[in-house]
Amino acid sequence: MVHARQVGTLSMPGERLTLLDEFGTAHQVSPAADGTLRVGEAAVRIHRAGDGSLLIEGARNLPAWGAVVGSTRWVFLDGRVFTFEADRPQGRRAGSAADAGPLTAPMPATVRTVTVARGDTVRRGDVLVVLEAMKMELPVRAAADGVVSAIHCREGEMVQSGQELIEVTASPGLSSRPQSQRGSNGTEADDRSGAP
Amino acid sequence: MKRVLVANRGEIAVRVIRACREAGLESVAVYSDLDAGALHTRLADHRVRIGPAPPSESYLNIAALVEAGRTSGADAVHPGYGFLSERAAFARACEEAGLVFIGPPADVIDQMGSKIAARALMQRAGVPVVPGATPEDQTDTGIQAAAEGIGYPVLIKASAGGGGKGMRVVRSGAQALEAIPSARREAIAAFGDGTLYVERLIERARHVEVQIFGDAHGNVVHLFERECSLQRRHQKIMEESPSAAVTAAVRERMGEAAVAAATATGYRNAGTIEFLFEGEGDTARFYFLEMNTRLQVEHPVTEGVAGVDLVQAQLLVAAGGRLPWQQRSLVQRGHAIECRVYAEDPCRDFLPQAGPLAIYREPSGPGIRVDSGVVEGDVVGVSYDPLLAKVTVCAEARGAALDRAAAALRAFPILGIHTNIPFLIALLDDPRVRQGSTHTGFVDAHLEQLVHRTRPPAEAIAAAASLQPRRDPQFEGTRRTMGIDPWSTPGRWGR
Repeated sequence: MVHARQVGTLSMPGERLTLLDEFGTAHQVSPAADGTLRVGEAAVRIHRAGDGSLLIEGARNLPAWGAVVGSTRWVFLDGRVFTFEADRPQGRRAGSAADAGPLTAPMPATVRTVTVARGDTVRRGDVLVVLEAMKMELPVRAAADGVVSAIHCREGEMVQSGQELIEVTASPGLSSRPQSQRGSNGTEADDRSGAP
Repeated sequence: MKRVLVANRGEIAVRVIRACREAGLESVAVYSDLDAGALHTRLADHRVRIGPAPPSESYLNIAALVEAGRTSGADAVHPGYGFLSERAAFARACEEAGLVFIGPPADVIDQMGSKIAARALMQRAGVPVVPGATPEDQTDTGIQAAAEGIGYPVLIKASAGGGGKGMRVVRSGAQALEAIPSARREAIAAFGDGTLYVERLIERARHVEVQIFGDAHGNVVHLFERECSLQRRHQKIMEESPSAAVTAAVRERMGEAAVAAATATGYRNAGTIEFLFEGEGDTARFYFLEMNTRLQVEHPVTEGVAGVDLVQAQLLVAAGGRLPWQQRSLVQRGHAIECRVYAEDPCRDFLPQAGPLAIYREPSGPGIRVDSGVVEGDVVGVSYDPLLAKVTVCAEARGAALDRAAAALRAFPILGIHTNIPFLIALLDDPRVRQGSTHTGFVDAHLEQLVHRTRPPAEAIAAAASLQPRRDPQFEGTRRTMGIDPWSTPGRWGR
């Protein structure tokens, strides 16, 4: 039997996490001294087992499941699935070198447009490539401020999941602009800084 | 029969491989490059690569499959469903290569593949077909007279073709006079042949099918009905047995008709007679629609209520054995419902989903059966059918089975890709589904009520906040090339 333990993710007192739901609504979550998580007026106590299952304590305890894939947080609760994207915690330094690197295709897709050229200066969150898969457009955004150092795809090309599309060399000096609200695009290169 | 090549993938390949093991037969899995590490490939006693990912070069490649049968030393082939299961040419190629085809004879597949030939054969066998005719008098008045003879509403269609060309729904004589010339013009334009066919229009019909089974010794039985009216764009979503609309008297008539149909074709092995079903009570009517010359996706429903193993019976009968049951010993007991779990997002027009199964935990418990071809950690692609799993529940009565199915789905977490589970639960909870008052157009007509993304409750938001983002090599995911050999992926085993 795995002993359930209380959450320790939001360890710093007063640290807040902003989660964006599928409607684009932002939700602020902050840890309270009593070990609960505050979501608006609600105080929720969550226990985690090691196998991905969660127990949500309340008037009636609810089993739930969670997983993080790329930058997306997935929650299964009573037959329903919710996904969230975490916004960067406030006060974090923008565009660290770790945010740079190759951007990859999240799924097999066709390259619809490449909106930048080698040597272009880009800001974190800028759309660099637009992919099309299953009749949907998927924008691939810069994970950091920097300079486009290589382009590995062409318009109209079929790319595989994980294939490198474009590389951005970070230039911290460019990051004077305030942190954008949402730089996340679901690509791998982006979630390195996703942890609060 | 000692070694069976399973010419399929996914859950049905897994189902057949397990049945072979149970029967003491060796199994041979075939796989495309994409399926090198798939569950069915790992489970079988032997495995043979048949080609690259596209089905036309692998699972639909008759030459590659027959060659796999030869090199692996198989002596029989199970086609599963879909892919080549209803291709007479495949059955023939197997027979010519000395492989026993686990299914009906090739000429029966051919015969049932032609809708016109099948309809004519059923009529001769006394099986009811949808009333319709190609009038000899093809003048406007001749067609109108035929429509009146059949009774409105009718469907007027081009005798020469399909695809809705030249098709008109006609509800009265006045409408007929207007529709006939335009239908004829359209038929001439599309097919170069203006001959019209008139058929009774059956509205709000149910799809009720009967499982049949024959052996090489002249025995044919039926194993009751399955109701499959819950469909979206002709794709079945949920199937059950018994049907809420079929009374004992009608069931007996349908069973007799299905056995007559199977006998008329000289059928062997498992098959299904599909009927259009209208009305209720003992006066309900049913009409032959088509025959499926293979095992059905929804066969677990029949296994649940009849207490049989259809795949074991397939192996037995293909080896020349007698049917393991007699008609009088078969009973339909309790209620079974199958829910098909698809990798698709109901909230985005049921778009097929691709991605990792970061969490995938199948439910279990009394009366809950899950057939699947995936495990947690697999990466789902869009190259093949989006069916992930089938959840089949059995209970004493229909209401209890609906409750059990909904509870099972609420305990079936799949994360990493969206699935239709929320949609299935909405269907199971719908009052009209609970009443059993559905028809084949029900889901498409009420889609908006059944599909809606809900705003997350505080519990879900807090749960999301509690998650630890991690750099897990397994779900780099999105970084992993689809065709990479999953055998080399660390962390795949031992969970």
